[in-house]
Amino acid sequence: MSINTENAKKIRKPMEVYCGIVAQMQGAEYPADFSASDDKLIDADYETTLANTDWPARHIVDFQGNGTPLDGSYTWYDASEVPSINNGKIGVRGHVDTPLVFTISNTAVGSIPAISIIGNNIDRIEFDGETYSGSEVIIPLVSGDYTETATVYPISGFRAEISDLIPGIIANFDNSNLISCTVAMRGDLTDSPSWQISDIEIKAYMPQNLESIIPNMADDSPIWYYAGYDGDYCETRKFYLAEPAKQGGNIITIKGEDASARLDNYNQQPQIVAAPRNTARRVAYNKFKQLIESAGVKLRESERPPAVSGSNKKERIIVLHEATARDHVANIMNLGHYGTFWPQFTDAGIPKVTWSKPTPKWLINESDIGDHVQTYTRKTARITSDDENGVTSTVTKSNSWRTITEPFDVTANQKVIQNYSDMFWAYSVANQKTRMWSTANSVAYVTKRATVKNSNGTKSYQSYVRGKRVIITPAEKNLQSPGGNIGGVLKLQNIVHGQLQDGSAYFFPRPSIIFDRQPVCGSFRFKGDPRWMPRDVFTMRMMDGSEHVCMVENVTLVHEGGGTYADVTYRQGVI
Amino acid sequence: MAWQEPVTTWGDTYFTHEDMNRICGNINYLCGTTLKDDYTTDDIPSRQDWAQVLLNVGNMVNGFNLPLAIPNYDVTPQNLELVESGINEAFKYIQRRSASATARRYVGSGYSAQQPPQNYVR
Repeated sequence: MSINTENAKKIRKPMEVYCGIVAQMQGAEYPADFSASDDKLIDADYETTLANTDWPARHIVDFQGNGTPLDGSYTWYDASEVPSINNGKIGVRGHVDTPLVFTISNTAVGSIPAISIIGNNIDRIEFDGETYSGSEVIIPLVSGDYTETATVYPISGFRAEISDLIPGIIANFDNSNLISCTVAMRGDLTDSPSWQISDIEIKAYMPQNLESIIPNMADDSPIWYYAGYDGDYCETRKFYLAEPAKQGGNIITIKGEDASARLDNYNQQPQIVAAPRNTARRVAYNKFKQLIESAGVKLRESERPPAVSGSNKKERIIVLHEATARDHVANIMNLGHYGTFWPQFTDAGIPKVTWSKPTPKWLINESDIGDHVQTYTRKTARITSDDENGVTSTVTKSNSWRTITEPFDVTANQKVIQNYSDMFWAYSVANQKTRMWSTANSVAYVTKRATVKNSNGTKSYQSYVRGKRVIITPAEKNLQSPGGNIGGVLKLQNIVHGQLQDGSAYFFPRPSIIFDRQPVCGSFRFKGDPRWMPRDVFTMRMMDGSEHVCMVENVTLVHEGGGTYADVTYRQGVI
Repeated sequence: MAWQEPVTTWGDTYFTHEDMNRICGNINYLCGTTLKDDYTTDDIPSRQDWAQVLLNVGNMVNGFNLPLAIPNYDVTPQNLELVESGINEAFKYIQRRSASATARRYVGSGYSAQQPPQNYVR
């Protein structure tokens, strides 16, 4: 069964949805001790393997129960295989029909409010006079210094297996306990876009009362989600807890954001980026990628940089002004698309960077969608800027040294940070031992020797800074659409000056690309496909037979009441 | 352990301790080895255990020049069929050799109260 086959049906089978959260709470020490347990197999470093919930439990040949299924997914147990995310783990596995006994400890200082156990073939766990049923349990702990015995009873004929045991909460949801799961995946295809964060909201049935425990789940605890049909699931999306989880009655609500929320964490300092024409696209793409990674976004996929091609003459320079990674990323995706060079960052739980111009991935028939509404945005006819350097500019390097600071007295090994209003591409620092860092308008260094006053009244070993400036020259004050004067005026906020050139064309920043955009936007409701991403390109086949290439702006995918649908907004063209 | 009829047609089923005992017991029977053949439901056989099975089956298939593929570590019906077919064909080969050796005793005799075995190989 595949998502495509089901989507082709008028009425498709209910989609299988899986999601959950892993909220580790770091206590004073790992709370479980298996050293005295009578286990059949156990990882040597079980504290590490049990706490790594994303390491899969190995499917090994085992004679418990009915034996090992011959579906090809099982391997032979190999004690020499080191547990890892790729090799998987053993965890702790008891004897058949024999309880697995271990101890759980808590401490008064750094007290843990709960532990979560995920296992297999577990009938029940008895701890501190309470009984917890099933193979996924959350055990609330009272604070204080104590050690209690936990007894894990296996299902008859099987061995109890524990694969994950963490201080904190693991909650897994599927169709059996999920009330709704909404994944809002956002882009911004307007003419002056800002980066949009995608998010997830899970509402699920939780019979256990964890009202006092779940608010302790730490921000950024990973939330995962995937959906599809047996044998064909979408890639697992990963979000991070963005606000305290809540439980009201038996319903738990969890909200998370994608990793792109971290783009605000990185502030790009003023920087000169220079590149000859043959590597300009590569340099721009690498800078784009570095902005995202510096913000703490771990990319799951990134396209190899563009190849070096063409002339290595005529170096072009841009100045990146101080702004967050979020602003720079949005700016590059708005003004840095030209020809086949189309740097794109998409997240929505699957952070990915590409530079090749996207092509249609999906075909949507207007007859298959509901509530299709087309809207028309105002075309941009003129681009202006309040910037004294205009809408576009050129940046050149001066080769003459210019004094930035007059000589001043220093002590040995003194840390000096100098900030300036002008921009410089090279520095020369007198009496410098080491350079800590430099940007286009600041330099930080450690001095070498202390300033001394000579007998004739002059001073030796003072420090001063000289630099070679970059000069920004306005190029175009305004840009007028070649299509005429029909449309609105867009005022650009320049956070980049200069332009990078590839071959004969300036490609970043290239504000005139905004004139190429089509004003047709739209929205519709679709069956819902968990593989869709913001900025996916699709072909819309209209009722009249005409076809239009469109780009997804937002997708809100809703799983609710056993059904799935998606509300999609789009803009015609490839933005 | 006595010889047990190998299972040479495996469907979409489970691999149990009884299967492992039959395989190892039959190898011990044919090769004079001492592979563990008393697995229980509480046992988890290792890759090293299976390596011994593969080594012995491989030796028999190659040594007797049997027209069979050599099995590997896959835990699939096809691979278990290869293992048990290898054991089964090796058993038949040894039986034939043994019968031939018996039959050769009649060659050149004036008469015999007994007929030579039917599968006598000249």
